[in-house]
This record gives sequence, structure tokens and C-alpha cells, in this order.
Amino acid sequence: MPEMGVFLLATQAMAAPGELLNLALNAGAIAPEGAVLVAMLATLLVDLAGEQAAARWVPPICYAGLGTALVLLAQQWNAPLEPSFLGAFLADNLAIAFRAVVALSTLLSLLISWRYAEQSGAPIGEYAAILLAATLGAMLLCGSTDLVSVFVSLETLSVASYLLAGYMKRDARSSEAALKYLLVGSAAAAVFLYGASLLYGLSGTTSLQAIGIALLTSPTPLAALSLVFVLATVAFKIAAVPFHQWTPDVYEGSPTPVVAFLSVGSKAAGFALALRLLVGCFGAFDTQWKLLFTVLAVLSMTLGNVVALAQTSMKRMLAYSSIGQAGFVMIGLVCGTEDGFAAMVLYMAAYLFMNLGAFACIILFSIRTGSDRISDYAGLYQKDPLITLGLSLCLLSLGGIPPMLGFFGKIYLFFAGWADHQYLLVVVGLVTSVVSIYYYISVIKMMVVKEPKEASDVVKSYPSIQWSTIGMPPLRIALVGCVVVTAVGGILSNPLFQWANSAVAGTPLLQEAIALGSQRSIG
Amino acid sequence: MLEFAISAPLETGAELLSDEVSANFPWLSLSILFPIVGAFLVPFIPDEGEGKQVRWFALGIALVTFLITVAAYLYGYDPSLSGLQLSERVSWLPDLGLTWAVGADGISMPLILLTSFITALAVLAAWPVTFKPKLFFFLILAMDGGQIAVFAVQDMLLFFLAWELELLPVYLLLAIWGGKKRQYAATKFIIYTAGSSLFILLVALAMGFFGGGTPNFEYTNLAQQSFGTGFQLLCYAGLLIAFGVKLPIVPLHTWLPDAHGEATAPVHMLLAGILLKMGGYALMRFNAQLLPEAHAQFAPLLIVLGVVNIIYAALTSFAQRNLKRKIAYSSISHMGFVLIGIGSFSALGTSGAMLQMISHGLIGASLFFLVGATYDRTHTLQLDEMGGVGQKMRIMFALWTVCALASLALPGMSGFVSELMVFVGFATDEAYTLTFRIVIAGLAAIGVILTPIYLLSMLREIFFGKENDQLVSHTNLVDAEPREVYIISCLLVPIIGIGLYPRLVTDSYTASIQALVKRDELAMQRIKKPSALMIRNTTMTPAVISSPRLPISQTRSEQLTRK
Repeated sequence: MPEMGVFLLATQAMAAPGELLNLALNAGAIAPEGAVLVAMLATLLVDLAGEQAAARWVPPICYAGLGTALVLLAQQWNAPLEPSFLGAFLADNLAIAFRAVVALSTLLSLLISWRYAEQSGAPIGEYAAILLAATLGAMLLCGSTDLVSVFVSLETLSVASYLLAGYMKRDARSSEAALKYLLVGSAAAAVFLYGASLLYGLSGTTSLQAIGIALLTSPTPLAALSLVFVLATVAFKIAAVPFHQWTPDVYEGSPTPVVAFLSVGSKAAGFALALRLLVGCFGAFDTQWKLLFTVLAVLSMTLGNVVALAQTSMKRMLAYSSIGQAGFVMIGLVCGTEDGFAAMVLYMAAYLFMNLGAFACIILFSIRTGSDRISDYAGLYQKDPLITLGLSLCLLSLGGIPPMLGFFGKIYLFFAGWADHQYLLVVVGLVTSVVSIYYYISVIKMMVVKEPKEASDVVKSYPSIQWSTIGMPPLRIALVGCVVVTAVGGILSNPLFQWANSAVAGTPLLQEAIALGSQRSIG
Repeated sequence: MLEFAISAPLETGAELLSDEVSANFPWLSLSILFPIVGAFLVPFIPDEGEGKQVRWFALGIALVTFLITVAAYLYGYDPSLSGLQLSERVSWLPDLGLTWAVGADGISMPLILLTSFITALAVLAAWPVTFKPKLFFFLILAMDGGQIAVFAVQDMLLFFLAWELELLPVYLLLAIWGGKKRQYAATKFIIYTAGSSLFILLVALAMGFFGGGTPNFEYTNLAQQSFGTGFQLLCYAGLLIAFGVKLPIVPLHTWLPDAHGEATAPVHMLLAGILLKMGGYALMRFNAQLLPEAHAQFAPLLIVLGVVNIIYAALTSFAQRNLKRKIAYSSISHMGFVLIGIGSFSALGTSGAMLQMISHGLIGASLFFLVGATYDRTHTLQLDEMGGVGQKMRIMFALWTVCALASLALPGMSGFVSELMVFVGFATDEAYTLTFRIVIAGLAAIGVILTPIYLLSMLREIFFGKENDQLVSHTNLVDAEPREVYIISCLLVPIIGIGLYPRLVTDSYTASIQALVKRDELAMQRIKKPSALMIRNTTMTPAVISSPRLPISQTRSEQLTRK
């Protein structure tokens, strides 16, 4: 696929040679991705030196790479905007915010992976390299402003994700997950290509901005068709109902740290893509895609939260809960106001911490017991207060109980939705979050309320707690960090609100859409 | 404190709420945060698992919190003012329009005191808790702060936050330390409460965003908005459901007998003593104060629901064979008077509703504590299995009798005064037609007659009659210990004190209640068409009997007019 991108870029350059001179490559914009790439290559090289060297050196290399990427991203914040790579990439604040979420989710996923990988006997070097490749794709996707770069980064992310899903190659369920993900994902990619080719045919360009202008001047029914195709891909990536069928199986079968990444990093990239494509490109079809997304959001919130009630496997429950959570985030997308976008960014950041905190606890539990069943958590309070406390706080935050971070994120979404008169979405959101409280609480009930004699067999034979083995200290750091941010971040969330608002304020794309929307409501 | 007052004389409805006195010291924030910080210190208390140190620590924190609220009342609160006092305002999340706005007026101050008082006694009542004591006292202390916050906050979004905050502690307190069906009861509680509280958020959003502009959720701001009548009716209905679950109002009450039936004694004291008052308080604060025109329309419904509460719950209480459920239903019955008082449109009646909340907070807590203490000895709550234990437990019997008499509104006890105030206030007020008043007062009086019957027959079944040999042989029926006598006497002192000299408490809130009722009456006059002609008098004449106006407030308004 990259060949095609180069080819298209070349044809563009030939078509307008004068512009080429004006547009510098401005490669500095992807310096954070460069850091991730270097870390990935270094990981692969170290991996050649054998397993022991890999186990010794891969983690620090990954930390260094992702840490550098985060520092570079922080430096890009509010920097003067210049499109790079002939308009294929734009490092606006929106891109930076979502790239930071992706990079941070990878960092946390890696912190919780080492022990899991060690225990399941999977080679660490390759795993880290593939995860970094997925991160690279996801980060590039957040800033892509051209159909070609969108597709290339989307595929980088997807292919790496397929590999990750099937990483436990001796586990049949993992292979099943990978195959399902591959089949559905490739179909989605094909649909996207079809929609993209229609868009190219209609407008004669691959730049999203140019396409947006072309569609605005001459909207055609065919463009609506391409909207449907493109939207299907976006919905697949963020696992919106009815494009969610892959989620439960993939989440259940895949290695848990991979699920942690998929549920946060991959989803954040999907939302960034949704913003770029729908807000940036389909401004002409504003009412149409908002209607479609309203339907998707209502379905996702309802189905995700209701089906989660019936789950017995922790990972499957979190899979359905993540579908519901994506539905909440879509409220912000549908609003299309300043507050709506800011609430989206804020909720993604909050979701990063609370979801990864929950996954860290689940991984720790499955490392110690090898089980993912909810009923096996019975009576855990006596044996392992840390997991109980951490998982409880994270689940309460996901359920939107004050004063956790998730409460403020969720209330901001509802606030934005109400301000934009999306009453249906807010009411459905509120009702389904009451439903979600029920299943999150039932896990807490399992852990805290059950008496010692009611404890599950797994908990009765719970191993003594040890933190000294390889990979456990990083897991503990990730767990405690996520839980602390989730618990305290809510009360002190003002900086986070400011950050989310300035992410929206520093993004011309969103500002234009907001201005357009307010004009429309006045007119 | 007067120099802080900013507003014009008390004339129009909107301005009745606007004079505000800021705090000279952050008393209320301190009383909210102190127990919460204390709760987070509980895990660090060295303890061998029996809970000896933890309970002393918790008692200390709860007592200091009580003293803080008392100090707030003595040094920062002027009972003669109707407006908001002790007010503090810190911007928290400006993007959400969320402000840390706390303050107290006559509607909230007595309940803040009640909360810290009952919680301190509940900690003392929780002395025998040895199962997971750290978690237990952590939750109790966290709830203490959260409940004071419910009464003290002055921002509707913050109110929702505080309201939800109490969800999880109560759930865990029910689910871990409850009776046999505790998990069912706890789940039922959380579904009812969480489900109903979403109406609070919806109404908060609707009211905060009303009229465009930057949303502001502070009560003072909301009170100045001129909501349309249709909008008010919708909001009122939503809030009535939300608070009706909590109070509870009869069709929405079914969680309460389960939750109260399964809770352990200290939790029970909190549930009956404070949680039910949250519903009554919120009805006054939001429905009556912020939505006066809808209140004028809905008030007859409130009164009818109140009568249904009184009679239905009293009759149901008859049939209960489980002691806890019996008293739980009697709580529901008593809360009916609160509804009638709120709907009465007379200062005396509304004042009575307020007093009924305080009085039931004290009486309910004492009865439920006694139920717990009795259960510790008999290990059964079934009335059929008890009987004749009065011989073995004489002091216990005396305590039971006094508290039951208080609950059935014996003259000289607080319950009598508050119920009488509600009756007289409602009956003498000209807002309703004579027929309606006669019917309602007659029906409510039936409830008043039913209460002594079931309470006294309950006493008879527990303490008199033939001694149950099985019970006596299996269990050790020791008499009340000093701690228990102390707790009950702590509760009885205010009960009898209020009974003999009600102005002890009523003076602390009369000004606010009068302002509230005046606002409602003005709204009633503004409405051209009252909801039902059969029920409503078309012309309003002022109530015949009303509480005497306090001299201080008169001088104050004179001062203000002179300015």
C-alpha cells in the first residue's frame, strides 16, 4: 500500500509543481512518531541479540522512546501550525491531544504487559515492536489530513493489531480472535477504500480539506454514499453498534494487555479519524452524519450497557462496557460545539486512566490466578486489598460515580449535549449509565461483599503477594498511577478541563466547524 | 452580621432569597471536609482487627464534626435572617459552571445539625461492630461529610454530586453488614436511588441552561429565573419522582422496608434519621422554593399523597410481623405529615413539616437503635417469637416505651408539636376549600389514631404476654448497658425539650420558612387558574394563625428600609 501513497503524492506534485515549492516537508511535525519508530527499530535490533538481552533492554528502550515522544508532543503544543508532507499531516492541538492519549496508552499497556508476556512465554522483543508499530500507525492516524495518509496509517495500525490479537499463538482463542479481527478489519478497510475512491472521483483530490470544499460547493447523492462507506469504517474502529460484533470475541481471546491498548489507544485514534473525516470533510453533510451518529450512539449506549449485564467473563464485560463508553463519547461528536469536542477529548483522557487502571487490575488478577471469570473475584477483599481497591475505583469511575474522574468526564458530555439540545442522547446516556452502575457494582459486590466462606476456589487458593518477580514493579507503577489519577483527578480536574478546551481552541478544523454550526443555529 | 446584608427590603418573591451573608470562617466546608479527611485516615489507624482503636478514632472525628456544626450555628449563623448565611463560594470547574458554593439558611441549618448529631450517635451505636471495622467506620465518616454536603451545598450540580456520593457507602453498608436478604435490599436501594437521581441531573441541566447564556446552577441564581409554568410543571414532576423515592412517597416507597429491614442498627439510624430527611429537604428547597408556580399547582397532590402515606403505611405497619419492617412503615407514615406541611401554604404548617423532619430524625433513630439493641439480645426480629421479655429487660422496656410514646406523638414530646403544627397550619389556612380541609384533616387524624394502636400492640407483643421459653433458654437476655441508655437519653433530651418548648428549634428556621411560604403564596396569586376549583379557594386570605414575627427581623427590615 505505501507505494500507492507515494505515487499519489507524486501525481499531486506533478499537477501543481508551484505549490511544491511553497510547501516544505516540515518533517519536524512527526518527530514524536520518529521517536517511536527509533524505539521500534532498536527493539527489533536488541531482539536479535537473544531473549535475555531483550528482556533486559527492551523495556527501557520502549520507555525512552515513548517518553521522548510525549515530551516532543508537549513541545508541539500550541506551536504555529504548518501542514507537513504536502498537506498529508497536520500537527494541530487535536492531533497532539489524541497522539498523547495513544502514546500514553501504549506506555501504560507496556508497563502492564511484561509480567503477562513473561508468564505466557511469549517473546518480549517482537511483542513490543509490534505494539510500537501499532502505536506509530495510531499516532499518524490522529494527524492525517489526506485520504492516502489516513489509509496508510489506518492499515499500519490494523495489521499490527491483527498480529497482536493473535500473539498467543498456542492459544486457540487468541488465533480465533486474530482471524475474526483480520476478516472484519479487512472488509472494513476495503469499504473505506471504496468510499475514498468515490470521494477522489468526486473531487479530484485526496486532501481532506479540498474534498470538504468540493463537497460543500457541489453536494451529490454519490457523496452521501461515500459518507456511508467512510462512516462504516470509522464505526468499526470505534466499535459502535452495529459494527461492534468483532469486539467481544477479540477482547476475550486476545492477550489482556493487547485488549488494554485496543480499547483505549486504537479507539482514541478512531475518534480522531472520525473528527478529521466527518467534521473536516463532510461538513456539507452535517445533518446527515449527525443523524447517523445519533443512531449509532443510542444503539451503542443501549446495547453495550445492557448486554454487559449478562456477561460472566470480565474481559467480555469490559468489551461491552467499552462499546457503551464509546457511545457516550459520541454524544460529544454529535454536538459539534466547543464544549462537545472538549468533552470528547476530556472523556478520552479520563477513559485512558480508568480503563487501563481496570485492565491493570484484571491482568494482575489473572497473573496470580489465571482466571478472568467475574465469579472468581468473589471474596478478593480479604486476600488482595490493592486489586480490590484499584478495580473498585476504576469501575466506579467508569460507571460515573462521584467524585471519580469519570463522573466529571461524563457530566461534561451530558452538559455539552444538553447545551446543544441533544435531549434524546442525554436521556439515553443517563438511563444507560444507571444500567452500567448495576454491572460495575456487581463486580465490586463480588469482591467486597462476599464473605470469606463464600470466596471462590480461586481466591481461596490465592498465592501470597509478591512484587519482586520480573515485570511486577512496572505493573504496580501503572496500576497505582492509573488508580490515583482516576480517584484524585476528578476533584482536581480543572487543569484537565483547561487542557481539553485549549486542544479544541488550538485546532482550526474544529473552530471552523463550531463557527459554521453557530452560524447555522443563528440563521 | 448585618453589615454584610446587601439586599433590599423583603417584598417580592425573587428578592426574598437574595440577601446573603458570607461566612467569616469556612465553617461549612470544614464540617464537610473534616469527616471525609478523617475517613481517609481510618486505614492508617493501627488496629488488630477488632476495631477498638478505630471506633474511638471515628467517634472523635464524628464528635468534632458535631462541634464544628454547633460552632457554625453559634458563631456564624443568625436565626433571624431568612436568607443564605455562612455562604462560601469557590469556583471549581468553570467549564461546567460548577462552583463550590455552600451556605445555610433556616431550611438547611437544623438538618446539618441533625446530621452531625445523629452520625455521632450512630458511631457510638456501632460499638459492637467487629466485622471489617475499618471499612465500616470509613464509610460512616465519609457519609457524614457527604450528607452534610447535601444540606449545605447551594449549587444544583454540586447537590447532584453530593446526592450520588451517598449511593455507594449506603450500598456497601447495607450489603456487607445487613441481615439475611441484605444483597437483595442493597441492590434494590441502589437501583431506586440511582434511577431516580437521574431526574435531578436532568432538571439541573434544564434549569441551569434555561434562558441561554452561561449556565449557572446556583440556587440563588435559579431562584431569580422566571421559568415558564409549563417548564416548571415538568421540572416539578421530575423532581417529585426523584425526591419521592427518597422521602418516600407511597408508590415509590418499596425499597425502604427492604433496606430498613436489612440494615444493621447504626446504619439504620442514619437511614431513618438523615437519609429520609434528604428527600423532605430537597422537596422544600427545590420544589417549593425554586418552582413556586408549579408548587401552587402540585400542592394538593402533595397533600393527598401525604394522607395516602399516613394511612397506607400505618395500615401496612399493622400487618408486619417483622419488627424492623413495622418501624420502617411507621417511618413512611410519619413522613406523610412532612408532605402535608409542605403543601399547606401556611407558615405554620410548613414550619411543622420542618419540625416533623427533625423530630422524626430523632425519634426514628432512637426506635431503630432500640430495634438493633433488642435484636442483639433476642437474635430474632419476628414478633411471634418474642414475648414476655419485659421481665428480663426492664430498663430496655422503659426505653422502648418512652420512644414508642414519642413516636405516637404523646403531648410533651416533639412529635406531638410537629404534627399539631401541621394540622393547625393546614386546617386554618384559607388556601384550600373547607371541604377539602375537613376531608384531609379527618383522614390524617385516622392515621394519628392508628399509630398508637400498632405501636402499643407491638410493645405488648415484645414485652408482655407469656414468656417464650425457647427464646429465654437460647439467648442471654441481659438488660440495657450504660452505652445504650446514654444514646437513648441523648436522643430523648431534644425530643422532650422540643416537646415542651418548640421555639428552641423553630426559632432557628422560622424566618426562612416564612420567606419560603410568602414566595409560594405570591406565586399562587400570580396564577390565574388554580389546579382544582373543588380544592382551591379562589381568593387567598392570609392564614388566621401564624407564628409570631420575631422582633429582630422587624428591626432589621426597618434598618434596611431606612437605608
